[in-house]
Amino acid sequence: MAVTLKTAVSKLRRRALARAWLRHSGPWLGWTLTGAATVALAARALADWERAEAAWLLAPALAAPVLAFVFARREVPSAHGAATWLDVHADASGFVVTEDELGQSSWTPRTEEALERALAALPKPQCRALLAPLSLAVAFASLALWIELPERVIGPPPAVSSAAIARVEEKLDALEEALALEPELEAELEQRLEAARADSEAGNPESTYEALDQLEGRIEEEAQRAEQAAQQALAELERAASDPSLAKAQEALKSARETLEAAGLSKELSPDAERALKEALAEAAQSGEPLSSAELAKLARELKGGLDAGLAKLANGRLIDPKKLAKRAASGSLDEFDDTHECDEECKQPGGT
Amino acid sequence: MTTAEATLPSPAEVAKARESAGAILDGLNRTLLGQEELTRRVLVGCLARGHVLLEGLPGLGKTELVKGLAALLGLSFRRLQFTPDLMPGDITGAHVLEQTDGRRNFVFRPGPVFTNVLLADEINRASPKTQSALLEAMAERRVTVLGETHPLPSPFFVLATQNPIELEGTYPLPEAQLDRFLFKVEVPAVSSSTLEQILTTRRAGRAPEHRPAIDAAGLDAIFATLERVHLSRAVAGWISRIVEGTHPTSAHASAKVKAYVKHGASPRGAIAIAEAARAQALLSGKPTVGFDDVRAVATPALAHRLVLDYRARLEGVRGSDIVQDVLAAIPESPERV
Repeated sequence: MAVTLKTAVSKLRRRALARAWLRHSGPWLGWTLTGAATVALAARALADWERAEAAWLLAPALAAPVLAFVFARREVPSAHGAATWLDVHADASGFVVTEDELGQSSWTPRTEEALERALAALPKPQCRALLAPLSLAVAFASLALWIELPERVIGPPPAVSSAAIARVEEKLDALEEALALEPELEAELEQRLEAARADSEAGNPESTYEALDQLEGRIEEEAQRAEQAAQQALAELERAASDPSLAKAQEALKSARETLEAAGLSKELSPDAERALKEALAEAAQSGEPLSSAELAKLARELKGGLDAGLAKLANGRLIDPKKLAKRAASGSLDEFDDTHECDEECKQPGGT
Repeated sequence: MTTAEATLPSPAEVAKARESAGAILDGLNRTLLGQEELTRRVLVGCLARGHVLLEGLPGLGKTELVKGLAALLGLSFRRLQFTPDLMPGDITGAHVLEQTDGRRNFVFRPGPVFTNVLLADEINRASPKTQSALLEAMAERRVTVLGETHPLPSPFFVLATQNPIELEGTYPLPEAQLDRFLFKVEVPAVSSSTLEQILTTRRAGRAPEHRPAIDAAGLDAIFATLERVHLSRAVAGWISRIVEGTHPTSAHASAKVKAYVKHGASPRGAIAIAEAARAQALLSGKPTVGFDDVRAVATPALAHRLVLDYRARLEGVRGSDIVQDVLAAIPESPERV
C-alpha cells in the first residue's frame, strides 16, 4: 500500500515527539532521581527515616517525564516542517513539499516514491539517551534506599562509651561499698549496667548512653536518699546529745539508728558496735531504765563514726558533694557530748523557762 | 481538476520540454567536449532567459559554445569583440544620413545588439560607458537612440566572456553591472583525455556544424512549460534564507560571511536563483523546483553578486567558497526534527 503524505507526516511527527521526549526525559529523570535519592539517603542517615518513608521522596522524580513530554511537544515540527524534512531526506526533489502545498496530482506517484525513501531514513528513537542517565540514577536510588546504614552515622567512638561505662561502674561500686542495698535494688542496678555494656558492644551508642544516664540517675537518687537519711540521723543524734532527758535522748538515738539502717548506712558500723547497740537498747527496753549518759555517748559516737564513714565513701565516689560533708564535719555537733550529763524530770529544757 | 493539476505542468508537457532541452544539451556537449557542467549551466541560464558571464582563459571554446548554442536554438547570432575604443553606438547602432528619393533622412542602422544571441567577447576591455550601453540593453531588452526606442528581438541572450589574466588596461565590471548577469560561470581547463578526443576528432579544432535542435515554436513551448514549473513556499523560503544569509549583518550569517563579506546578494540574486532553479528542474524532468535544484544553481547565481572585503582577497577566499558555506550553514527547513 502506497504511503500517503498525511501518514508519512504523522509518522515523522510521532517519531520526532518520541525522540525529543527521550532526549529530554533521560537527563531530567536522571538528575531529579539522583537529587531525590540524595535527599532520601540524607533523611535515612540523619533523620532515621525508614526505607518506606524515604522511598516516597523519590516520587517527585516522576514529574520529570511529564514535563519532558510537555517540552517535547513544543519541539514537534509543524506539518509543513515535517513535509520539508521528508522532502529533503528523500531526494530533495521538491515533490513532497509541492504536494503538501498543492495537494495530489498526476505527479503523486513520484511523491509516493520519495516518501518511501524518506520513511526509510526516519530518525530512530535514541533509547540510549534515556537509558544511560536513567540506569545510573536508578542504581544510585536503589543504593540510597537499600544500603544498610549504621543506626547513627555520627556518634562517639567506642572508647568514649567504654569510659562512660567505667565511670558509672565506679559510682555503682562506691554506692554498694557505702550502703547496704536491698538485694533487689542491687540486682536491678547490676542488670542495668550489664544492659548498657551490651548496648555498647553492639555499637549502639544511643541506647548505651540512655541506659547509662538512667543508671547514673538511679545511683545518684540512692545516694541522695542516703544523704538525706544521714542528715536526719545526724539531727536525731544531735537531739540525743542535747536533750536533757535521758529517756528522750535514748529514744532519739534509737530513731537515729533505725533511720541509718533504713537508708543502708548501718553498713559502716562495726559488728561489735552494732551488736552492743542492739543489746543495750534491748536491755534498756526490758528493764525500763534508760541508758546512762556515758552509754548514750558511746553509742552515739559509734553511730556517728559509722555515719561519717559511709558518707565519706559516698563523697569519695562523687555521689554526694564533698564540700557539704566537710562543712558538716566542721560543725562537730557531737564533739561536746557530755558524758556526765544527768537530768531529771525537772531539768530545764533548752529554750524553756 | 485539483489545484495541483491546474498549477503544475503535466508529465507529458514536462517530458516533451525535457526532450527538447536534452537535444540542445546533447548538441552543446558535442560542441564542447568534457564540459558537461558548463554546458548545462549555460543552457539553464538561457532557458531562464538570463545572461551569462563566462570567465576563462583564451582558447577554451567559449566562442564555439555560444555559436553552437545559437545554431542549436535556431536563433540569430552576433559576436562583438570589446576593445577600449569601442563606442556605445558600435553596439546599439546609430542614425545615419541617407538619401532616398532625393530626400535626406536620418535612418536608424541597428547595431550588433539586435540579435537573439550576442557574444560579448572580453567585455571587460571596453570602457565603462560602452559596457553600460550593453548592460542597459540586457536589463531593458530594448535600445533607445536619439529618443527612439527600439525593442530587441526575443529571445535575447547575452553571453559575455572575460579573461581572468592580462588585466592591464581592462575595466572590471562594477558590482551593479555584474548583478545583471544571471550566472557567472567559470570555464575550467579541459582534461588530457578530452584534449586527446579533440585532437582525434576535430581537424584544426573545428567544431561540428549544428542544425537547429528545435524551432521557434519548440522554444516557445519550453518557455511556456517553464512558466508553469512550480516553486513551493518551502523552497522559496530556503532561497530567501540563503540570500539573507549572505549579508554579514543577518542573523543567519555564518562566521565566514561575517569575516569576509562586505555586502550580500540583492533581491535580484534571489530571483535569479528561483528562475535558474526552475530551468534546472525542467531539465531534470520535474514540474516543481526542489532543494537539489536550488543547490545546483546557487553558486553560479550568487557568487558574483557578493562584495568581498580585502581580507578575502588576501586569504584567497572566493565568492563560490562563501556560497558553499552559506548552503551548508542554512538548513532547508527552519524547523528542527
